[in-house]
Amino acid sequence: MNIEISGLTRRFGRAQAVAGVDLEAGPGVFGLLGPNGAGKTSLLRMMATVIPPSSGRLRLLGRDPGSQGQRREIRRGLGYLPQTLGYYPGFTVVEFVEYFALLKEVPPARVPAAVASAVERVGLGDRAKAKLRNLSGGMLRRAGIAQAIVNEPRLLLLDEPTAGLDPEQRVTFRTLLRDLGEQATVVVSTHLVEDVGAACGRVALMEKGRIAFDGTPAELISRGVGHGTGDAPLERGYSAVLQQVRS
Amino acid sequence: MTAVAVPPRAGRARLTPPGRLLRLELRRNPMPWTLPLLAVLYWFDTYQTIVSFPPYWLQRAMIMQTHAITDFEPFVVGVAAWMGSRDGRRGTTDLVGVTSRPRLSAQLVTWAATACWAVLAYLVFAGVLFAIMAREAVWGGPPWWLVAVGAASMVAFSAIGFTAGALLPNRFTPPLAVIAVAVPLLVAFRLAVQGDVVALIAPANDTIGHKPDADLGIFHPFLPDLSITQLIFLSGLTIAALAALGLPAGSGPWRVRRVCAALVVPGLVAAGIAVRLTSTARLQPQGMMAIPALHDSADDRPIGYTPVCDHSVVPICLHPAFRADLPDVVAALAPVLNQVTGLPGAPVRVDQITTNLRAWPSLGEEVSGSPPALRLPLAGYGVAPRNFGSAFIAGMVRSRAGMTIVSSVVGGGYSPGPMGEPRGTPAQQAIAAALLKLAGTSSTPQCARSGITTSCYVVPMPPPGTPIHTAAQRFAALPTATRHTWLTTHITALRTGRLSLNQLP
Repeated sequence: MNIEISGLTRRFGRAQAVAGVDLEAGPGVFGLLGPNGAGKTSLLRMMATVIPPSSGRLRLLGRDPGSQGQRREIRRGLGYLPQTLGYYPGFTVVEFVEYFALLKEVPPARVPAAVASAVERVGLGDRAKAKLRNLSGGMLRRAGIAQAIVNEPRLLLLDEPTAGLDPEQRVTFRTLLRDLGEQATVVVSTHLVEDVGAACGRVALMEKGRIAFDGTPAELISRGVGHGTGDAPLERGYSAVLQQVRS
Repeated sequence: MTAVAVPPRAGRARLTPPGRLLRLELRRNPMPWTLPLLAVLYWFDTYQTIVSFPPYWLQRAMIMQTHAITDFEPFVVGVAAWMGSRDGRRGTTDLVGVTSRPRLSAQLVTWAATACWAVLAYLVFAGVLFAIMAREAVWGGPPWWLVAVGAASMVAFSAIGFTAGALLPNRFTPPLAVIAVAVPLLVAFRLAVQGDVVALIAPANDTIGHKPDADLGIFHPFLPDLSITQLIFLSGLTIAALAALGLPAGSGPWRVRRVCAALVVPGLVAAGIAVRLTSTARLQPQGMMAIPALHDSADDRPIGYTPVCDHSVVPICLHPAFRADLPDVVAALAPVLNQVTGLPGAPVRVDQITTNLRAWPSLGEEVSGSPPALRLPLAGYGVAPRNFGSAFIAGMVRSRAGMTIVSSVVGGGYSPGPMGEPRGTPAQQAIAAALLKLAGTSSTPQCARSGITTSCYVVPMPPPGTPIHTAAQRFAALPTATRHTWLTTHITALRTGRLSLNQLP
């Protein structure tokens, strides 16, 4: 298992963002759904080793991120796209991706090929020499994905990766997700249930810091049959689970 | 094939990962964008100031150091603080923080790129000035210690600015950091001008007082004592500032953070030791600062030279660096020497000496030796090839040297300094006043302003209507031969103070 979580909590002052999450995940694409403030981003940031948990057990790629040496090993195999992507406007796409390849300790001889591959996979090959300040929001998002996958991570954490992408790019991106999920554990936090339905083999729904549902997209759809609101089956499943939890 | 599929050049592959990171940072560092503005400032401030001084290496290099460091400081500190705050401003802290390399290493590479640009710019700008100096008839050679201090200042400025930006990632941090570094520099400069030796630790300062004299480093070798303490100080600040980068949580593994915490202290201690050493600095007669714990007495030995002399009755000999001034010095001193030549005690030779700043307000001028010779601290009067032509400088040389020469003949003398008061008997004062008036010296205060410095001189004359004034006028009205004969006859009695005003012709 690349992700082993049990009883994980995270508090920010008096607010409990994550209130006891249990989760295990191996290779494949894992969708994380939930309304705003459900704790998705906090959970992702703990898995990305950005913030430590307040309590509970967290093991990533078979290692304990609480240990300094093991955390470094985890980070070598980690890719992370935060919800709000920071970037250096003066860097070109290639420079930005190369910068993170070097920080992620990609073997020097492999860096040029890894950078080229990552940039091509997100469809920015023709804008490789463009400065980030000149890219559209969707292109920036793709550059962010490129830096996340440049080290061929075994654990890829993507926080709303399709925000800002046009429909064509989202379709391409789902294909990329499926490809990546064949080797790695890909956790995708999103509000877009159609992305989950198209790319994820497994989905969890968070509400008030807890996992309210954990199963396949088909199981989530089945929870919405005759219940819930929404235009698509997944949306009805999503709203049905939330209504059940809130009631 | 898209642009990204082009294989990398062979040279790139040989670089280590830190080297490749540095290459990226160097390429995208904003420091080069500031260089045109810095060049303009450097031209109008540093360059224009330097070319107004005589072409002597040490004097110009000292002035260059003061101005260049002041000019560079806002740019280097500001850009470094801007780069230090980059991750905070750009929201990339999380992205960089979750990579396997410690965040501190990424920050150090970013800082190194800024420091490299700053040092390179400083060396290029200094190199251009040195090339210009080398083309002129300069004396001596480039003082590399000062260049080292300037380069170390760039490193320290960038480290301080970067750390400030990293610890307080805010758009207001760069201007505040610039001010926080500039204010102590300016205060230290003012304090050094007023004679505070501790203020010399600031890299923009070279010596106490307003400005170095032209003969600095010409008669004696450059003393590196102060430069060494400044380098220790700057190194200590750099180490402490960079180590402080590693203190916050998330900057790296706890072992790295512990090393950083352990380095802050020795960095600050080194800076403190340098300040303590500087507090013991003393001004050497040749105008440079010596620090006893670092001083090598071999550096106090004068540099040998063969003087250049004119061939008049009283030979005037100058250091070859002042060769161009010889005709002007002869012209300035001849009217005074003509009044006393041949009299007992009158100098039979004039030798240039280095300005003795420790003798202030005197500059060390005296008639001494056997046979007597006038020791002339020419540079102390502001003499230099580019400014001797001014009537003010010529008058200064004639008046101050004149008072020394006349005093050595008639006795009495003047209190030291450019506005000296007569101290002899009334008869001595009257004769001295007459001779100096005949030599064409000025009895009204003459002042000239150069930068923030105002220089003045005057030959004090007895007030009109007084017996001394009347006697002086009477003596000055005598024919030259009569005066000279009377002086030859009565000079011994006059010097020993046994003549009264009534006994004067």
